[in-house]
Amino acid sequence: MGLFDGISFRWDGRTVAIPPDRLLGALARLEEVLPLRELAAMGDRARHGKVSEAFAAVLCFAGADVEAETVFARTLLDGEARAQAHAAITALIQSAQPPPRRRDGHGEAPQENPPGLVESLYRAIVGNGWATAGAFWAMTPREAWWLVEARTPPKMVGHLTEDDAEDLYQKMKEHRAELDRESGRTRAEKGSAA
Amino acid sequence: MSAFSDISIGWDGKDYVIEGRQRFRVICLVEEEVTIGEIAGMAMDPARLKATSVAKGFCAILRFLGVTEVQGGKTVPITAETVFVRMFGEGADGDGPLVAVTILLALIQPHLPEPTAVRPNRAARRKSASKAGRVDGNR
Repeated sequence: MGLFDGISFRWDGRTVAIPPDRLLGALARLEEVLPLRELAAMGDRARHGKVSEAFAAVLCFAGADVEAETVFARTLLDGEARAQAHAAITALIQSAQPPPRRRDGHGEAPQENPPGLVESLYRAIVGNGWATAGAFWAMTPREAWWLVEARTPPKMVGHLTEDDAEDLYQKMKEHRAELDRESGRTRAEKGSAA
Repeated sequence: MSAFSDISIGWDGKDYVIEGRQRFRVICLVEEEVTIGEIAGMAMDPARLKATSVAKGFCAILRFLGVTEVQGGKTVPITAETVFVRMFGEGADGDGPLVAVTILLALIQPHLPEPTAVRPNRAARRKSASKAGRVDGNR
């Protein structure tokens, strides 16, 4: 998937396409039923009913006329439909991942009931007046993350970013531990020689 | 055509009906307690049967149906503990847990809806609902 591509997938013999400027809307529909953190927490205990309901919401947003129970039946009885639904949800979630080059949330305590991904982006972008609500919903997820990055420059420690400073500190700690181990070995060798 | 038809469940000598249009909602409630994968696993291999999960899943159905019990003089929704004791406690029928798993399986079993352009009218849907199968959970 390119930076500005939408996603498309097969469902019930048809190709369903979600253009890039509707991905955030589709994700919001998904999260209305099943927040991404809840989906991730399911692990091996996937709740088929809830996932079907969430996928049906996405399909309806994309223009399909389908009920959750139909999605449930189709994905339960038809392995190909199940694989298609899984691939579609995965593609939709991947489309909204932040770019990998920056680490965020370092050292933050987890919130008890954090908002969904789209809600967080909306609060940051529209809430801070960085873009209008209309402009937000027309953005691709990648553009939304770029805007967040541009508006929240990384904290600097001297001429280093906070992440670089943290990396440097960790390396120094490792080096120090190695030196301590070596000096311990040398002392032990001298002791045994004496 | 709906993916589900009406289903009848017996409990404590009484029959209850879950309408086809309600079944998906009930399945979601059951899955809060025990997932379809776990139910299928228990049905295939009774050695994997988890008594508390079955009791909780079945309790979710009974609560949806409005089944109550009396606790300290008050009428309250039936609890998973009561369901557990009735299914697995002293004097319970040895087949009870397997019957419960079978009912859970029957509940989640849909039929594949045909992709039709025209929905049948209400009278036709009622007629089809009245032909629904019945699963008896009486023990």
